[in-house]
Amino acid sequence: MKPALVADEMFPEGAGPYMEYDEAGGSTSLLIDLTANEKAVHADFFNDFDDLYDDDDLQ
Amino acid sequence: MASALEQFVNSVRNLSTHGNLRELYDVVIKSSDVLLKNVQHLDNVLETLDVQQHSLGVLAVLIAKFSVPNASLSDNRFLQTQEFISTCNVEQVRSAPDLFAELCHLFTNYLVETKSPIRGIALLKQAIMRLKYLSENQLTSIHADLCQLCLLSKCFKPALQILDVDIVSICQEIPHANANSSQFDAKYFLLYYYYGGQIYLALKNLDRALYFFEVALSTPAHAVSHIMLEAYKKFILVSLLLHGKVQQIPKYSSKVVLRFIKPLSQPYNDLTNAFVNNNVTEMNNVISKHTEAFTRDRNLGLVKQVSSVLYKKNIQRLTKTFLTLSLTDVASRVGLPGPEDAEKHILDMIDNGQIYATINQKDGMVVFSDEPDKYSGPGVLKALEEELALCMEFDNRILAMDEEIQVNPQYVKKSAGLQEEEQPSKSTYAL
Repeated sequence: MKPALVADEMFPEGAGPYMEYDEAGGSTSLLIDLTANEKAVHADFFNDFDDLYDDDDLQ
Repeated sequence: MASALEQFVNSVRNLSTHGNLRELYDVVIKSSDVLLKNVQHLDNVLETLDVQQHSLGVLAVLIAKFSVPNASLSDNRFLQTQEFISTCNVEQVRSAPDLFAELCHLFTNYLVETKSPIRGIALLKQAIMRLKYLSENQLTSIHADLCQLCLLSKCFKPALQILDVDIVSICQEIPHANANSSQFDAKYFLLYYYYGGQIYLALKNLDRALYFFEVALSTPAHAVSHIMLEAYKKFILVSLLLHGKVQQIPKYSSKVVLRFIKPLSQPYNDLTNAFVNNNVTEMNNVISKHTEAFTRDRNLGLVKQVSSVLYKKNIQRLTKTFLTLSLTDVASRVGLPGPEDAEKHILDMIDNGQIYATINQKDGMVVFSDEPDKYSGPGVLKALEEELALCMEFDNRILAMDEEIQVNPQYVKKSAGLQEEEQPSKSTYAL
């Protein structure tokens, strides 16, 4: 495990397991990491169309 | 008729007569269970209500009818929905955008299940226009339903009137305890741009298709949406078709796109690499290796188009080196099977204005010529004027939106508060 990034004396325990060095850009990136967690949405959306772009069937 | 139903009918009639829409909306929402439990009597309820006067009541009954299986009843739901959309009271329906959108979603699902999507196109379009969503350039979730029906029935043009409008606001369809903070389900926003992009793509309007996929792709997100993932795959293919390379993803796109969606689209990344290297053999290998994935994504047709564009791209590169070349040479240099295929591709390209050349049928030679000056004539001037008008309209719209924000009480309050906070710190520095 990587050593925790200590950004401030106020947080001697480090920034937590979610933050990596290359993304210590601000609160926004941390927020995304916390909420994403490889979660996927809209898996059931309707996409059952024929292949509409096969020009071979036009010839 | 059960007494609870009678109570529902009486409340709807009374509140509609007095124009008390807020209370009527609450009654309708609370009655959904009663309606669902008395499905067999709902046609009787409809007979006691007038579509024009009691639109919210009829709307609730129709939703209940679509929400339960209809095996034992005669199916008159299409005609009833048709009558409702054509004659309902617009003011009443606009007070319950969530219920109206729900009816349209249920109606769309019903048409998909009964394999008759084309029957709903005109109706949903009429709904969007009657409720003035079109004239206000406002996006509703019904827009996505309309596009879905158009794609399923392969009848694309009716959607263009809706898609060609630039959206400037979004209908707040999801009610919230605080009336000022209603919301819109992001799923329908993404679906509108994903389906809309597909419609433009089918009509060969690649510019607009790319823009629609880009909007879907650059929507702020904290999680991977499968709709965004599919939009990304099509964004890559349309980029290659239109520009011969993958367009840069906007900087304001969510990190989710680069971190998760790009790695999930590996076959498409492989295809892009082969394409930008102008390597036909590598491209064919990628296509045969990932045929299953492309077919599963319903993108094989687009991939074939991309492959054909690579041949054309390579022919175009030949025009920079050679003045004349035989068809056999062209075929061998770009990796086509024979001179007939080379001729077909070259004729296509001349037709589309991609190259300027003549083919001598006697000796099978192709003579490439320079591009004629294309920036002259009244056509160019007209196009320029149209573009200018568009830019000026866009500028006016931005100014109007800016003005709207400047006078928004919330904005004024917040910016005034910020200024007050800044004042003391300035004076501290001054000291």
